This record gives sequence, C-alpha cells and structure tokens, in this order.
Amino acid sequence: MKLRMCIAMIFLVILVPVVRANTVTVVSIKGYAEVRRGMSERWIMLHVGDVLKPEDTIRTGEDAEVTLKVGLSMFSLPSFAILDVGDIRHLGRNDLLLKLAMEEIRGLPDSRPSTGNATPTVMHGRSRGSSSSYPVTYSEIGIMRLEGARALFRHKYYETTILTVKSTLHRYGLRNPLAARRLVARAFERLGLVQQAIDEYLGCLSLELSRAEKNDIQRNIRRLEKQL
Amino acid sequence: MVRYTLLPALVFLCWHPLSSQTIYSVRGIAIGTETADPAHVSSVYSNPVGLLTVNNWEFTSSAVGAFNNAEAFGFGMIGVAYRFSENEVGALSYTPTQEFLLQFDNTSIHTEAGGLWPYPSALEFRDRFRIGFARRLSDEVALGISGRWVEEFLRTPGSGYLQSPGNSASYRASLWSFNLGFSYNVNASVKTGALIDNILAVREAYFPDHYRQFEYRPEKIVRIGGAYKYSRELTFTAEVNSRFAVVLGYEQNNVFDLPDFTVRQGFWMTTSSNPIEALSIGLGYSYKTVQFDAAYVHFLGQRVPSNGILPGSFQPLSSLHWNPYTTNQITASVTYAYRSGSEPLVRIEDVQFFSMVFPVNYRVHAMRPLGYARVRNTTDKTVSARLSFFVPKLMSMPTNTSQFYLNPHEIRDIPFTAEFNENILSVHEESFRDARIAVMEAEVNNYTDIEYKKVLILGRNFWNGDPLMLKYFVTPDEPRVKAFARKALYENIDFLESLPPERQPLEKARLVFNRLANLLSYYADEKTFTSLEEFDRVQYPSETLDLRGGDCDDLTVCYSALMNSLGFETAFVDVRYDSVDENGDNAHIYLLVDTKLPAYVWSSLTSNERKLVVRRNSTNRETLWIPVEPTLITKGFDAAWEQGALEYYRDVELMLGQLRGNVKIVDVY
Repeated sequence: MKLRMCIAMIFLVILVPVVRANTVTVVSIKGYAEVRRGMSERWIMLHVGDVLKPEDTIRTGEDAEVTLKVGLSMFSLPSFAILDVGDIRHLGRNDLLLKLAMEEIRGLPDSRPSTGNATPTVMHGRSRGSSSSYPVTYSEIGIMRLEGARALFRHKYYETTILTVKSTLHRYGLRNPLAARRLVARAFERLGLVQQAIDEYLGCLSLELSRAEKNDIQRNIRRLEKQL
Repeated sequence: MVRYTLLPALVFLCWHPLSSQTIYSVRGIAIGTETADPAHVSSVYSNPVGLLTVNNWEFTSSAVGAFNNAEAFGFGMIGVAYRFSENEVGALSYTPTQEFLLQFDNTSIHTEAGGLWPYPSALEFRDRFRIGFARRLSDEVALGISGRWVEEFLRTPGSGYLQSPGNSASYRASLWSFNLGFSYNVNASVKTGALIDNILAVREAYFPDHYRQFEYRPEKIVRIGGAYKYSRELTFTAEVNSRFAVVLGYEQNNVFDLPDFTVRQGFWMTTSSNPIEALSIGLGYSYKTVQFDAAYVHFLGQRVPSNGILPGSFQPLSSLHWNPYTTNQITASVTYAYRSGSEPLVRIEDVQFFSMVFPVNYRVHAMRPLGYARVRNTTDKTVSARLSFFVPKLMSMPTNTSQFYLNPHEIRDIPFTAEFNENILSVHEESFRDARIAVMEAEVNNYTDIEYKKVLILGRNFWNGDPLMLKYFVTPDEPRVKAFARKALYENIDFLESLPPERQPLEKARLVFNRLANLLSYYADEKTFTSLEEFDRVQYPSETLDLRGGDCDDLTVCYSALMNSLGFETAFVDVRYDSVDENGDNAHIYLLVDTKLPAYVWSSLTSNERKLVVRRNSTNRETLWIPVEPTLITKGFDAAWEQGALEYYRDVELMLGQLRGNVKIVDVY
C-alpha cells in the first residue's frame, strides 16, 4: 500500500509541471507593463502573479522589464516590447514551413500601396476604455513587436520569432527592415533550415545596404552555402 | 451470358410439373409480407403495385416443394411483366399444373339437398391465370389491381353409392376474383401499403347444389402494411390484416459483405392459442439482371393434412393460399429482367450515383457528374453513342452527354450530369425518384437501351455539413433579405453619411447585425436522421427571418446573405473539433465580413489588430475582414465581433487549424 502511494506521489510530482507547462505567470515586473486580455481593446496594468492566457498580449514601457514563468522556464521581456503570449511556444518544422508557405501565398503580389502616405501615424480608438496606457504611435507598434520577436529569439522560440517578424514586416512595414530580416535568417539557421536562411539573406541584398552590410550578408551566404 | 444462366434455371424449375401451391411470391413468403414493399413480376401474388419495379420486360418462374404432400415438388408458376409507359406496368402469370389438391377418405356419404351423396374423394383448385396492372399516380402514390381465374374440380368415388352407381363423377366450377392494392411512400425510408384481397369475386360456374359447400369461398381481407428502411442494408416489414393477424419480417442485403446476397425472415402471428402461426426464412441472390430467391415456411401449429381429410372435418376454403391445409413448404424462383427488341448496340450494364441530390446545390449537377453508367458496345464495330439522364418533374428535359465512341466490345463508365429545375426546391423531405438513364446511337438518335434507377432526392433544407455546400443556402437576392438589409441602413442614413469612408463598412455591418439582434434569437436545432445518414437542416435566410431564429449555421447563412445583399463579401469559417461540445456537436461555423478596406488602415477600426483578419477578397486585394460569431446574436455586434475574433485567433493562429485541416474558410461571393 505504501509502495503504491509512493509511486502515485512520484507520478504526481512528475506530471504536475507537465500539465502546467503552458501556464504563463508573471513573476516580476520592473517599470511599467500592461496586458490586453483576449480581443479586448483595453490595456490594463500588469501585476505580479497574474496568469496569462495564450490569447493575451503584454507590452512594456521604456526601461521596463517583465519576467514570466512559462512552465518550468523563465521568459524575460525587455523594455518597449509587445508580445503575444500565444507566441511563447514551439512549432513543428512542418507546421512552420506550411504556415510560411501560406503567408507567402497570401503576400503575393504585395497589395500594399507604393506610397507610404496612407499609413496612419496614430492609433485611432486607442483611448477607448483605456485607463492606464501610454500613447503609442502606429510605427512604434511595429518596433515594439520586433522587440518582442527578439525576446522570443533569445529564448529559443525560433519558429514564432520568424512568424512574428514576418507578420510585423507585412503589416507595419519598417523603414529599415535589415535587422528584422537578419533576425529571421538567424532563426532559420538555428532551426537547421539552411536554404531558407540563405533565401532570407539573399532577400536582404535587395535592400539599400552599406558596403559593410553587404559584405557581411554575402559572407553569411557563402558560409551557409558550404553547409548545403 | 445472363440468358444462358436463365435457361437451365427455368428447365430445372419445370422439371417435375406436379401439384404445387403458390401461396405468395417467394420473396413475400420469406419476409412474411410484401404489402408495403412488393417487387418484381411475382407481386401479382401479393400487392400488384410492386409491378412498378419492373423496368422493361421481366420473366419469372417458380417451383414449390410441399412437405406432407404425396406430390412433393412441382412447378409453381411462370409470369411475365411489361412496362407500357413511364407509369404503367402490366403482368400475366400462368400456373399450368393443379394448384392445390385435397384428398378425402372416400368411404363416407353426406346428406345434402334432400339426398345421400358420396363424399368427394378429391378437391382440386387451379389458380390458372393471374393478370395484374399497376399505375403510378404520383411520385408517392401508386395503385395496382390483379385478377385471377380459379378453376375448381370435385371428384367422387367410383362405386357403391346411391346417386352415383357404378361410375365416378367429376364436377367443375370456376370464378374470377380481384385484388386491389395501394402504396404510399412516406419518405425514402418509410413505405406504406394496403391490399384488399378478393375485393370483388364473380362466380362463373358452380358445383351441383349438394356439393356447394365444397366450393371455394374467397374472403375479403384488408391488409395494411409498412416497410421501414433502417439502413442501406436492413429493411423491416409489418402487416396487420382484418383477420387480426400480424406479420413481421425483415430483409437484409449485403450479408457477410456479399453485396449480391440477401437474407429474409418472417413471423406470422395470430390471436389464436398458438400466437406464432408460422416462421419463414429465405435467401436471395442476384447476378446481373437475374434474381434467384428461395424461401421456406414452417407452420408451428397442428396442420390439417391435405391428403386424407376425414369426412365431416372439412373446413370450406376462404383462401387458396393460406388455409388450414397449407403445409410446410420450400419455394424457389428465378426472375430475369429482359430488354425488349434485339440486342442493343450499346447496353447499359450498371448505373451508379456518386451522391444523393441535395436540392440546395442542384445547379452543380449541371456541371459536376451526378453518377455514371457503365455501357458496353455489344457489336464488332465502333459505335458512337450518347447517354441521357432524366428525372420526371424535377427536370424539364433530359441531359445528354456529348457524343462518345466505343470500340468493339468496349466497356466504359460514362459520367452523366443533371439539370434539375426549380421544382426540386419544393422537395421538403427525402424521397426516392425514378430516374431514366438511356443510351442512344448518336447517328440515328434511337434509344438502344433504357435503365430505370432510383435516385435519392433529399429535402430542400438538408445539409451534409460541407461548408462549400452551405454557401448555396445564402440567397442575397431574395426580396425579403434585400429589404431587411436596406432598411437597417436607411433608418441610420444620416449617421452613416456623417462617418469617414473607412468607418462605414464596419458601421454597416454593425447596423445590420444589431437590427437582426432585435428580431432573432439563437436555438440549437435537431439533427435529422434519415435511413442513410445524419443530416443537419439549414434554414434559408428568409425562413430564419420568418422563424425569428436558428442555430449557428442558420444565423451565419442569414447574416451572410444580408451583408452580401449590400455588396459585402463574406466567408464561412468552418471549424471541426476532435471532441463534441455540450450540444453534441463537433463542428462550428461563423463568419468573416470583408470591409473592403486595405490592411494597413486597421487602426481606424480598432486598437487591437487581432480583431481583424487580413485576407484576400475576390479582387485579389488584401483587405480587412471582420470575424463575427452570429450565435451571440442577442448580445449585439460588439460581443459577436469580439467572440468571433477570439475564436478565429484560437482556431487559426494558435491551433493552426487551417494547416491541420480542422478549419476551412470558404468564400461566399
């Protein structure tokens, strides 16, 4: 009887963290941070101990930092970043490639207007029901999302790094997307998707680059081509 | 090949042409009753409406082996049926031998009509001819009549009796009697039928007065029957009749995964002390157009022996086929469907339907094949032909395939389409309709072969769960729908005109939804279980407006039609779950509405970009789409939008539903 109890307890100890692996809890907050629950339009202040759902979004202000506990590991979101909690996850390689293929199909041909003057610079309706948020411009959202993607990269969520960067580039556009695209290329590289990484670097060559940047990109391409 | 198998079978059945009693059709014996679901030419012995199952010519022959009878095995009958027209079939059967023989202990006399007469030594009945005629009155109702000519013979012993000194005597009598049958197909799975046996009996010749008690006295019996097709394979039958007897039976096809085999069983129950009067069992086998049937009926109670009846114990016969002298017997028959005229140049070997017909998307069958016919060139030369398909009333004219060529003796599957007319939208419940498939020589336009096959037409509201089909329920051009949507905008025209252009699509969607919210409510509907499958029912938008509510698919269709009528594109989001919810559903559907706004203006509509979906519309432009959950109809547009966006984010982004095939997005243009 005692032996059975012991086995049950051991299973319980092993299984509880596994079952709770997707639970995301706020462990610490430095500075100002907010959460947007589900599809709400309101940003509310984030508190230590808050449990976040996959459909929630968090953002940090300047000089802020939020530490999350994701399952058994920690996740640190730096300042001036936006992160969809659902992006803190790994995808299978096939899922990633299929998703990218779908995005590529959706993105061709590019329907964005050639002139950028139609892009709004402020977020209408931002203040609707909002009590504690600070003003964020449209273009800042893209930058903050990229910062969130960098956090994903640092914590080795390479698949969602790629998807987040690509969707951010698609939706917000950036004046200088080189850093973002290099981040995607490096994420591909870490996933062992060498050809996709090369393609991403090749895409970078079509951007306006300095000589040093160009040399660096070409060096990376040559290095990766040797791995093929 | 078929005809070469027919001949030996017929010879076998005619091998020993002795006395035999044909109590019913062989299939009818096996399943107990054919009142509601008769078939083939032998239905002249049961409910003659079954003749309508005959395609062209049909021949049958049967043999009977009666137990407890000296003449154990003999010829039963031979019959032929012919289809005169689309709705009329006639039949004739002939029994060449004595039908039913009763033998008596001939040492007695009996007193009648003031004299002493020798008791008969034998009574013989011959159900010589039967004629039958069936006519279809409508798609559901058919009427049939059959008549028969019965000869009766009475023989007396040869000597030692007062009125017949020295010589035996033989007397003959005869009569006509008629049966009247009806059938009514309630739907594809339920059939009912009624039969009045001997509704009219006309005696032609009589026995002498002192033997009149031995004449056959046909009794008028009313039979009411039903047949329920539980599944594609299993059919149950039942009958009650005016003798207070109940007959139950079933027929199962595809036994042991052998598609050509059928097993049948029947139970006869009475109100007498022995409640189960008889049991029967039978087998059927079909090979191309030849049908073989066999049945055995076993009486559980004590039967009066048909040979050697004691004088004084004789009970006058009210039925030649089911009376106290009917014995356990085994019967067999072979039925052959034959084509008229000479061997056709091109013959239809088989017809199969790819699917049943859903009235809602009837137009697709004009382009997408409904089925195929397997045709064979029976000649040694190349033949050009066309195939036509026709369902009376539901099609204005037959659809013809383009001309095709068949090499000598080639067999090929030819797909056919169907151009149904709008009458199909008046079909409310599932029903089987007769379809005519004909093949004709292309050069001379003469039909060379015709096949009749039942096609299943479902009710106008039936839906198989496929979101591609659901879009056919969206009818934005209905006046009721147009008026409703326009009124929602006209009532707020000043407000709309005050808005910047990029806000107008969202506000229009909101106004229509909220007007709908004031009228409708959500309620889950019941699944429809047919004999074949489980179907959902979907209301057309005007029906939802009339009924003031519906379930998720009804409301999605209705809101989609309203937005389409205003020029907005919509798309269904169809989600399949691995488990069922509290309503027993494992699928859900909601809607995306195209704002026609480019993706980069999302912030003019909301501060949460995930409340909008970016996807291409019919003009191949990436635009913003609003996800809406119509089941939250009573909570208003904002709640429905937020819930729709949440569901879309979970289903598509988090669960990767589109990648894994759990989510389908279907455009409704």
